[in-house]
Amino acid sequence: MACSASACQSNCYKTQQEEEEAVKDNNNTNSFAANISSSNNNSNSGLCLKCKANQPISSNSDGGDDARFCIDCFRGNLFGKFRFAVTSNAMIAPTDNVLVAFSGGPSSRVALQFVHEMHSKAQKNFDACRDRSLPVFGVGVAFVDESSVYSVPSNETDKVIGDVRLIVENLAPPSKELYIVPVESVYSSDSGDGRERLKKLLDAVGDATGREDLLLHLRMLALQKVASQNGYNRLLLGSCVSKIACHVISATVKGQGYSLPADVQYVDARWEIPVVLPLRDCLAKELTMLCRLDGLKTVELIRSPCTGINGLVSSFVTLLQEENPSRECTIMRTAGKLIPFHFNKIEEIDDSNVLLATRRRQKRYNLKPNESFSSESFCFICNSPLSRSDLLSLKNLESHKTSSVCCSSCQFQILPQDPSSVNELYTLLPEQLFARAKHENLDHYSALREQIQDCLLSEVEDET
Amino acid sequence: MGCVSKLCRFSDMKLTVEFGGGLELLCNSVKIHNVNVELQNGAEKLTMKDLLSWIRNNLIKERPEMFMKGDTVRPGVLALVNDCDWELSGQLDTTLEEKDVVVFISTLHGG
Repeated sequence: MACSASACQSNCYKTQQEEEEAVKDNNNTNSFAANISSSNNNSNSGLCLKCKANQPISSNSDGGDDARFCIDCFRGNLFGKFRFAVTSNAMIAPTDNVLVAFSGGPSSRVALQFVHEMHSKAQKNFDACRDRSLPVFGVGVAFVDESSVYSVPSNETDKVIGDVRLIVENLAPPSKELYIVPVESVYSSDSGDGRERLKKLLDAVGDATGREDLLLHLRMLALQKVASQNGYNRLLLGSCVSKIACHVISATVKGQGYSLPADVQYVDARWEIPVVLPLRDCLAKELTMLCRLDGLKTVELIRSPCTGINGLVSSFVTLLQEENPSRECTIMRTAGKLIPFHFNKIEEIDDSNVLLATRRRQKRYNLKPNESFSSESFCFICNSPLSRSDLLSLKNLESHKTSSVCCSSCQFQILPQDPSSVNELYTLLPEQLFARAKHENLDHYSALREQIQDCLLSEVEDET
Repeated sequence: MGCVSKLCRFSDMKLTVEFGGGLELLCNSVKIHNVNVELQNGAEKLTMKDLLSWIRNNLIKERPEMFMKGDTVRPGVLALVNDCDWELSGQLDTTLEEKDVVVFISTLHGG
C-alpha cells in the first residue's frame, strides 16, 4: 500500500528510525506517530504484537499476557471476542429480534456499535443475495430512564434522551427502533402514579445496598417488559469482565453463592426474554479506550455514587486491577469454574428454520450444566434460583401473596424485619413481580407433573 | 523551522487536557481545556508527573482525591497521551511536547 510518507498519517511502513527523523523535520506538526516515538525513550517500545507493523496504542495485559496492539488490531481483537461470543453461544440467529440495553456508558455503547456492524453486514448480504434466503435479524435499542429516582431536573433528562436518540439515529441503515423506558413503567398504571409508588418503595427499603439492588431488579423488569411487549426474543447487555468481577465478589459477600453461576455466563435464559452477554470477555478499560479511539459517543448519566457494598467492591476490584492487570479476568475465570445452571444456554431448537450451522455450533460449545435438577424455584424479587436449604429454611411469607418465595439475600437486604412492614412493602412492589412468580411456579408445577405423570393415579381409576 | 524552535524554548507549554467518563465534574463540567503550563525553574522538560500536579492545582476545583492518589492518578482512571496509553510511554515519566493532547477517562462506569 503505497503512500507519500509526509502526507500519510497512518503508520504503514514507517520504522522507528524514520519516525525519529520525521520528528526533527516536523516538530510543529502534531504527527501522532512522531510524538509516540519521541516520548518512547524509556519504555520497551516494541511494535504491535499482532501485525508487527504498527505502533501500539494500548498496553492490554489481559490475562497476564502483555499484549500491545495498534489501533486496528486492538479494535479487531475486541470485535473478535464479541463475534466469537455471539456465534459460539448461538446468541443471534437470523430470525431473532434483539433488544440492546443501552445505558449510555462505554460498555453498552460498544455493544451497540458491534451489534450494528453485524446488523449492517447482514443487511448487505441480504441485499446482495439474489434469492433472499437469509433473513436479517431485527435490532431495537432500549434506554431505561431512571431520572425520577435520582431527581434529575427535566431539562437535563431531555438532553440525555436527545443525545441517546441522536446516537441511535446515526446507527442506520438498517434503522433501529429506540424505546425510552422510564423505570416507573414497571407499574402498569399511568406514569404519575408510578413515580410516586417507586419513590415510596425505595424509601421503604432501609439498607442502601438493598435499595441499589432493588433498583437493578426493577431495571431488568422494565427491560423484560419492553422486550416482551414489542416482540423481541433476545435482550443484549453490555456487561463486561470488570462488571462481572465486581458482581462475583459482591454476590459472595451478600450470601448469593448458590445463584452466582447463573449470573456470570454468556447466556441467561431463566428470564422470559433470554439475556445474552457478548462482551463478557472484554475489560472496561478496553471498552473505554475503544470509545475514545473510534469517537463513539457516550452519554454520562448523573447518578449519586454507590454508597453501600456495591461501591465498596467496585473500588476494591479497581484497586486490585491497578496492582495487577489480570485480576478482573482471574476473578471471572474462578467464578467460571462453578457449574452453570441448565438455563445458562440458549435452548437447542430442532426447528429446521434454524440454520444447521447454528445448531451444530450450539452442540459443540455447550457447557455441561447440572442436568439433574431441571426445575428450579426462583426468588420473586431478584429471580435468582433458590437452593434447597433456602427453600427449607424460609419463613414462608404467605400473608399477602402465596407462591411468592424470596431468597435469603433479598430477605435480609430488601425486606424489613417486622411482618407488618413487610406487608406494606408488598403493596408497593410492582404487580408484575408477583405475576411472574406465579407464572414461573405454575410452569414449575406442570413440568414436575409431567415428569411424574406415569406414576400418578388417574382420578377415574377403580380402586380394585 | 523545527530546530530553531527547540533551541529558543519558551518557559511554558501549550497543551490540551481533556476529561471524560465523569471526571469533568471535578472541573466545573468542562471537558476540554486548552492550557499553558509553565515549566518549573530551570526544568528542561515537562513530565506527566509535573502536569498532574499542575492540573491538581489549577484545573481540579473539587474533591481532588477522586482524580489523584499521591503522585499519580487514582486507580480506575485511564490516562492517554495522544491517544496512546501512558503505560507505553513511561507513565509518570512520560515527556510531554508542545500541542500534546492528554486525556483522562474514568473507567468506573456503568454498562
